[in-house]
Amino acid sequence: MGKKRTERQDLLPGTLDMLILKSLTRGVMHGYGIAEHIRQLSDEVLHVEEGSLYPALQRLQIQGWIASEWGHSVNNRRARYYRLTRAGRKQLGEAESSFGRLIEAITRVMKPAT
Amino acid sequence: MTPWLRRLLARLRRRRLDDELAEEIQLHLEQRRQSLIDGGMDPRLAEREARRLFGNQTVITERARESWTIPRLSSVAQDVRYAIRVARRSPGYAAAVIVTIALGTALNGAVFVLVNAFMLRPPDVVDIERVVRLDDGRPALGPTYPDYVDYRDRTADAMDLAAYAGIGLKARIDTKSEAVERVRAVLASGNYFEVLKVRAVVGRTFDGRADLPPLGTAEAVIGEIYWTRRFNRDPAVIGRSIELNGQPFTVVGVVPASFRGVDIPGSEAPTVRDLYVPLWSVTSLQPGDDRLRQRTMWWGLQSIGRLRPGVELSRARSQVAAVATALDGEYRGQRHERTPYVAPLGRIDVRLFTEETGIIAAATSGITLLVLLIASANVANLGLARAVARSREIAVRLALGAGRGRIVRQFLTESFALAACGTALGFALAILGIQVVVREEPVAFSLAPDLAVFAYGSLVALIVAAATGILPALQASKPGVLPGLKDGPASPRRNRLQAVFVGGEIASCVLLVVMTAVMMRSAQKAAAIDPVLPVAQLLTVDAGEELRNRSEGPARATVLTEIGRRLEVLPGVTGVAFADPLPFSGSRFDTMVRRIETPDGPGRRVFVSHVSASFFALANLPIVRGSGFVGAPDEVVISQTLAARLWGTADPVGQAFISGDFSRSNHVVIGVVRDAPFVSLQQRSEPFLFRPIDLSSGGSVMARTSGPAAALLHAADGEVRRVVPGERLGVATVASGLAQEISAVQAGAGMIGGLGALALALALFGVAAVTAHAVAQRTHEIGVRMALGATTTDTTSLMVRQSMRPVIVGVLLGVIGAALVSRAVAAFLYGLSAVDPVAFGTASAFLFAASMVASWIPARRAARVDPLIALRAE
Repeated sequence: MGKKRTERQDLLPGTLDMLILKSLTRGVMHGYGIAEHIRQLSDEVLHVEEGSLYPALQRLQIQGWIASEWGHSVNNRRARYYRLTRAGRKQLGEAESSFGRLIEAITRVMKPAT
Repeated sequence: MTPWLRRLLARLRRRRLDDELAEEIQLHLEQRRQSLIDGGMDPRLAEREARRLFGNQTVITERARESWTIPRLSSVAQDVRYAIRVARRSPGYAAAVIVTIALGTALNGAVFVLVNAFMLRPPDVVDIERVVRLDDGRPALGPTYPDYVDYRDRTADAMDLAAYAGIGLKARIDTKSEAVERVRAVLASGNYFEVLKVRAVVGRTFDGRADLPPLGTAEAVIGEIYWTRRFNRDPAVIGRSIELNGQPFTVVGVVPASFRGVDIPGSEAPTVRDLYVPLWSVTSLQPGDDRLRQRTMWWGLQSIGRLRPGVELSRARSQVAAVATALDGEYRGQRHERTPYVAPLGRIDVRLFTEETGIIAAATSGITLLVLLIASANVANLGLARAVARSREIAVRLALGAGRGRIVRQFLTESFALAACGTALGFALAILGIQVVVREEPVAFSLAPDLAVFAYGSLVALIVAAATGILPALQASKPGVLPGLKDGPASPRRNRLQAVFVGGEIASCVLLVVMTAVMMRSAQKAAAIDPVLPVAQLLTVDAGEELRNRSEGPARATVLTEIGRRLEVLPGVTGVAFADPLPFSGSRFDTMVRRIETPDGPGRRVFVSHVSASFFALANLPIVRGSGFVGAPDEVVISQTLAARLWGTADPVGQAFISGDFSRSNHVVIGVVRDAPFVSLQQRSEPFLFRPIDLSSGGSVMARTSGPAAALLHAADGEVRRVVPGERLGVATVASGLAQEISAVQAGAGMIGGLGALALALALFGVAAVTAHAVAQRTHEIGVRMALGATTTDTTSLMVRQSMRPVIVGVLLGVIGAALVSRAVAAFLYGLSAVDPVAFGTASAFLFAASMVASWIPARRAARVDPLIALRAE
């Protein structure tokens, strides 16, 4: 109990969940795929400690926002595939809009309209 | 599925999830390594780089795991494990707590199990939410039969209404034998089983035709229990003819034992019904009975109905109300105007709980609560003492960084574990106890513990745990590590708390013991009340019910006169009279009377007895005014109380008054007789009305003997059998009826006495434990006192004096409480003032003395210790 979260502050807190959900809107993916997807799309700017993806995936499953099942990867190894649930899609919508508002607010503060 | 539930599921599959996670991480690392190699990295470097990019595997696995765990569950489990270890280390303490809680909760559990079975549990009926009960505006009172028929026919499109009533019958199963047995039967309408959706195990139930007298013999349906007991589950019972009250019935089916009938909750103890007969057959079972035609006769008929599909309760209600209004108009003056009520059977109908049930419920739950309170106070006291004993352990834990909340939680977990064990044991004892008591007689309700009992038990356990655990937990976890570690003196506040508990315990205990004493004194007084009637010399032949059920009017008169004639000539008999009902027989008639000048004014309720002219002399009741019966029209004799209530001090002789509500009769007072208890010893000055008896409507015979009546029982029985060979008319003495009443009072006193004894034992245990504990804490001080020259007696008396302080306060509070309670129950007491000085005095003195002894024993033992050993006790 009471272990302090050790996520690096490279990422805004709480955004990892949103990024995972967003990645999964493209379809079913396994853990490595999600990590790759985030890295590539952000032009390797967003630096995710890859391991922290897994606790996040567990958390999202417990929340019922994503679901998983075991399948076979391209090189025919057993892999766990995640997909977005309906509740997850809804959650993503909410996260996106609140994130949008946050960014907008920050932008307004950083660049006051002259 | 809620996240909480998913966590729980995940927790159950923990090992598999661990494996899966490891596999997933492994795959990830390999894929990363592969892609790094593909990007041109050296394989060995790639391996390390992949791990670096991934981060600390152990921490990540741990964090993933954390997301599945139910918060705190692990530490709760730890607390429970710790609690079990602690209990194992001191089994004596654990056992004492569990047994105390079990004793305290057993009573509570028994009361709840019974209340639940009698009153709260809906009857076991298929689709009960569609079943309703129709009453006649007064709770528990069904409609009269003609009203029922009208309701049934005129609300037929809203519901299917059935009617039923209980009846005692005499059955002759084997028509070749003379053997007759009493059975409990239900008079049921033809649709009774259909409404309740009961299917026969064998044969069939009634159908609609059962509502009309058939051309052949009547039908009967028997219950499975009776089928097993009397017919050995023989399927050939179908079609068999049995005789009920001398009338032939054909058995058409058997209904399952799971069908327990529909008893009105809280009315009286439900019984298992042996068989069912059509409602109309009451006219042949009881010849001359016209109750089915009476619109103003309530004889225990109940009505239940099943709503037709799609019909709402509100529609059934409005239809019934409309019918009632219509009936008021159609039968003006022939029926009471009433507001019938339709109640869902599956829900608890609070209207059924009368004041009497309320008083009984309040009294029993009050008493059981007191016992539980005493038990809880004891346990809390033990807990406080134990918190002191464990102060070093607690101090170590606090010093090692445990938060106060954690320690409190630990203590509460321990209390709860013990409370749960104790309550479970107590409830198990309660259920077993009830089952042993009811084994003799199958009861018509299920005693198997259901969800309600379980929920109630859990609630009790929680309350007990909180009541017994919170204070010791707070005390034990008080900050202040150093003194605890040094095992220094306990804070005096702890002792003050214990004193409060002891005071409370003693107060509750005094209350119970005083009430016990009051009840016992009341029973004693009841036995000593002058019954006025020469009860020991009165012999009775109780023929009221038997003859009414069997014979026609003239035959009844002949039988009664003949029995009277034969008893009169029996040696030892000095006179014979007739009465209906008999004194102290347990049955009573009452009616309303009004002065003739105010025929529509409010009536007064009076008891009625029909007696022969010889009755008054035989019963030692002197006529104080006027004369006994002389054969004048409408003549009645009234009791002094009734005379005073109707006319005050004016001369009642020659006055006229009216009795009855619908069929009114005029009466002219011919004489006034001395007040005497007649129905019950408690009712010494009830208004009584004696009317001349008409033997053709039945009655009982009473004979006065010169010696003890019991000596003539056998001879009288012989004479009665010579008159009516087939019948079993009860020959008894009035004294035995009275003895029953007194023994019922004594049984009540005995039961409360048992509770009082239990409470006393618990409370004294508490006093002794607290004194022992206080003394043990002061061993060192005792040693100093002894070394300085105090005698054993000095020290002992000091300790006892200090222990007795809360006891004195408790006794005072208890006496005040008892005075309040006793005032409330004064109506049930025989010849006692509300605050009976003897009962109050002896009970509180006894408790005081007993507490003194309870504290003296441990104090004395401590004071005898060698001063040297005592001084070294630090």
